[in-house]
Order: sequence, then C-alpha cells, then structure tokens
Amino acid sequence: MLAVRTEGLRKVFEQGRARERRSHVAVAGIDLRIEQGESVAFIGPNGAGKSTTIKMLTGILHPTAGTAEVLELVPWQQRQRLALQIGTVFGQRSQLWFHLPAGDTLRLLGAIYELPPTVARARSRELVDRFSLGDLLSIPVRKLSLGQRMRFEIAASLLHKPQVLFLDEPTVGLDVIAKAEVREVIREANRDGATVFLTSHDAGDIETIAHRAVVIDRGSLVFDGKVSSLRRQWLTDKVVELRSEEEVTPPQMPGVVVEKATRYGLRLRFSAQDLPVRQVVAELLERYPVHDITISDPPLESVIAAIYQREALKR
Amino acid sequence: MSKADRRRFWPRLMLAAMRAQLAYPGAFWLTILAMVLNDGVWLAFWWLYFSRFPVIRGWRLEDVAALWAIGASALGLVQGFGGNLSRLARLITQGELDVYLSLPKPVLPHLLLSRVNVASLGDVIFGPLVFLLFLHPSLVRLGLFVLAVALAGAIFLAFLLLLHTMAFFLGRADLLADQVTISMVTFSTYPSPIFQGGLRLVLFTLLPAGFINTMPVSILRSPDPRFIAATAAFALLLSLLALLAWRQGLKRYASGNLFQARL
Repeated sequence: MLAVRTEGLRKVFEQGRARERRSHVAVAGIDLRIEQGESVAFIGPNGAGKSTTIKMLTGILHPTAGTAEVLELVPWQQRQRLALQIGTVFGQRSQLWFHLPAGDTLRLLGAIYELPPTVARARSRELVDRFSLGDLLSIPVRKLSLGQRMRFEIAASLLHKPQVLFLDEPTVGLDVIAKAEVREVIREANRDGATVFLTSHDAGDIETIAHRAVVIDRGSLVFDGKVSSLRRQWLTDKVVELRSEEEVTPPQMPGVVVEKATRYGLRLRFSAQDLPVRQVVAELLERYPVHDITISDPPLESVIAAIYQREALKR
Repeated sequence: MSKADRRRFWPRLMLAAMRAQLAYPGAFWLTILAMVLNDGVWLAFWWLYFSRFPVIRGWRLEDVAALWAIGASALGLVQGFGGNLSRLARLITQGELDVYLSLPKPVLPHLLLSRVNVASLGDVIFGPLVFLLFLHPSLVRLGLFVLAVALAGAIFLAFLLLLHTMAFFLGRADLLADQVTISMVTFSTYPSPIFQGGLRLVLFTLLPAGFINTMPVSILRSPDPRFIAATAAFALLLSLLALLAWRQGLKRYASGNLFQARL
C-alpha cells in the first residue's frame, strides 16, 4: 500500500475583488508516489506550494483539481478516518492548549484519538520519558520555552502511533540541542515504520531525517530523488580545504575561487565539471608543502540555495 | 473505544475549555460579575420606565423581565459554551481552523466547544436568576421557560453560525457579523408589539429576533402551540441552512500562515 499518491493535484486560490479577481496557482498539478516507511523531505523556497500540498494531503484544504490518496483514503472526503492514522505538526501552529498544562492536552488528545485510557496513559508516559518532559508536564504551555513546546507538539503528534507523519517546519526556532532531539525522535518513528513527510528550510533536518528529497517550486516538482544525489545533480562544485606546513599565498588558478585564506590554510571552490579534481589537487600539492587536505561536497544549504536561485532565474 | 467513551469526550472538552479560563480565577469571576451587573442595570432601566408607564401595548414589567431571562439564558448558553462562535468569522479568515481540521473529530462542535466565553457565563447566571426571583416559578412555568430558552438558543446558534460562515464566501465577515449580532441582540431585548409593518416582517425572516421577543407572551404567559410549532420549524430550517453553508464553506476554506495558539 502506498502511503501517499497524488495525480495532477492542483490548488488555485482566487484573490482580489469580484471584478478584478486574479487566480494564484499555489500547486500546479503534482504527481507523487510515496511508499510506506519512506522519509521524504518536501523542499522549496517560500511560496513554492509546500504547505498547501501538506494541507491538501491532511484534508485541511480541498484541491481545485486532481486526486490524492493518503493510506488509500481521500483526505478531504475521509478526513476524520484519515486523521486517526496520521500525525501532523505545523511548526507555527500549536495544538496544545495555551493556558493549560501540556499534560492536560496529552490526556485530551488520547480521547480525541480514541485510545483506551490505559493505552493513552502508557503511550504518554513513554513519550514524556523519551523527550525528558516529565518535569514540565504540570506547567502551563504559555510558560514553556519554544523548544519545550515543540517537544510536546511532536510528542502529541506521535501519541496514537500514526502511520504517516506530516511535519511542516518542525524545528523552526529551536536551538541546536532541541533540534537534535526532535530529529532523533522523528527518525525513531520512521525506523518504527512511520512514513515521514517533512518540509523544512533547515538542511540539517533534511540530511538527518530524509532519504528522499522532492523539490517543488512555483507549485511544480523540479526534483525527485535521493538526498545524496540532490547534491551531485544540482551542484558539481567541490570544496578543497588545505593546511600547509609553511605560510601560504592564495593561488591564481583559472576556475578556482578562494573562499577563505588564513596564514597556513586555504579553502578553495571549483566546478568538477570544468576542472578535473586530480588536476586541481596535483597543482596544489606541487605549490604547497601540504600538511593536510580534504575534498568535500558543498553543504546542503548551498545546494538548496542554488536550486532556489536557478529556479528564480528561470522566472 | 466504545460509543459511550467517544461521547464522553465532549464533556471533557468543555471541562478543559472551562479550566483554561479558570487559569486566571480573579479575571474569571470579575468578568462574570460585571456581566450580571450589566444585565441588571438594563432591567433596572426597564423597572424605572414601567414605574411611570405600567403597560406598553399589553406588555408589563414581568414580560420584559421574562424576555431578558429567556434572551440572556439562551444567548449566554450558546456564546458561553460555544465560545468560539463569536470569533468564528475571524478564525475562518485568518485560517485558524487547521488544528480542528487535522484532528479526528467533527470540526464544528470541536471548534465551538473548545472555548468558553466568560462574559457570556454572566448571562447564563443572570437569566435563570431573574426567572427564579421575579417570574413566579412553578414546575409548568419552568418547563415552558426551558422550552423558550431551547428554541431561542437554537435560533441564536443557527443564525450566528450562518452569519459567521459568510466569511468563507465573502473572504472577510467579522465586522459584518459583529454588527448584525448587535442588531439581533438589540431587537431581541425589546417588546415585540413596538415593531410594526415591514420591520416586523424583517424580524421574522432576515433578522429573526421577532421569534425571541414574542416568546414571553406566546410561550410563558399564554402558551400558543401554533407559535411554538412555527418557531421550532423556523429554528430547524435555519439550522439546516447554516449547516449546509458550513459544509459548502469548508470546501472553500483557504487556511493561512498566522502564528497561532489554542487560547
């Protein structure tokens, strides 16, 4: 059974007054197939149509055209049945009661998801322990930090062991430690069999959580493949970091950009399509008494930025 | 989970909504007291009026007191325990239905019962208090009072729901809803015989306050089965219309990206 299947899924918003009505195509007809157990990063620049797609897949929005099935259910027609089997986290939207202790929301969500009270209590305890939230259970949500609140949000979304997790910017605003915790728990849910559908602008989220990346821009899919091949396909650049035994002067090599130069170190960048790696490395070894050298792909942030820029140039 | 367990969710939800407001007990009780006093002041004005002019077109002070008792109880129950009703148009426009749409419960009752409007709880106390203190309660009259409150509540609920649901179709309807709600409440608190001609027609159709301000005479003073049946039929029709508009409206819901919390 497929976790998610869409065909020609399209959403058009009408804007403006009746006489000057304009149509804004938020999602331009996307086809997507996601197997159960996959972890997919759904990425794209602001306004690309990511959140609108998630909202259609969770039954919040009705599409203008096309079809979609999540766990073989049509989200906007079988919303309640589907909601029992999926978990959602919208980073900027809380499902916790602001003035009540988070523990109260977890108890209420147990009833919302129709869990027998004993099961709900056990599962809640398990998640509270996993996220180290025990000391915070009786504190009103309004008094929690953003990181603490997000941990509760994720715990709440996992309470009923959903088969598919839809996460829209789940780590927005979190510090490094909180991000790492949230990512680990999402990976754990994925290891337990849950399909993860994630949108994020954070390359760390994408690299740690997802195996597959789907890139959307202006409502259309522009890439669908492994996260690892995302780098190779979109950026052929290589980064060379060199440490010399003697003081260095930055090299003048055609096609090679000096990104950073210190007294004994250099960081260089070049396109492996234009210059063979061995040629650049051989020249560097000849010029400098190299103590250490590393060759790496650029960080995923650069890849994502390159995709966004390239798509922007096409407009 | 059994059906009974599922049904128990709704009282639990209402209890949570009440506890959320009781997080500030001082503000909670003061707001209720202020609303009771506010309603009391209006009734005191009427008492002063009737002490000079004892009858308006057949209505006495007792009828006006009954009108306030019925109106305050009905509107208080609807807006007090359906605390999101008075903000519904705003919630729709700002895309704040997402949380309710992503949970496995019927959206409308879940949304309405998720918030208690504390000020309206003052009405819920004031209405029955007036009935008990000034309207010669008996078992029969209590039954009639409950019937009047139920019918008035159904009309208020359906009318306000229909009004706020316009936000799906107009894009924004909060200001319109606020204005029309004030008109509805105002016309519901004056004796029915003072409205004549075309206005009377409006009050039994577009702005159905006429059903409510006729209740003290046609249900409590001398129960009229035809009026009761007509009111029940109108409430049913209006409810069906409101639910149809809600269902159609949800298909047009556009969501939004505001940062938000469940207050």
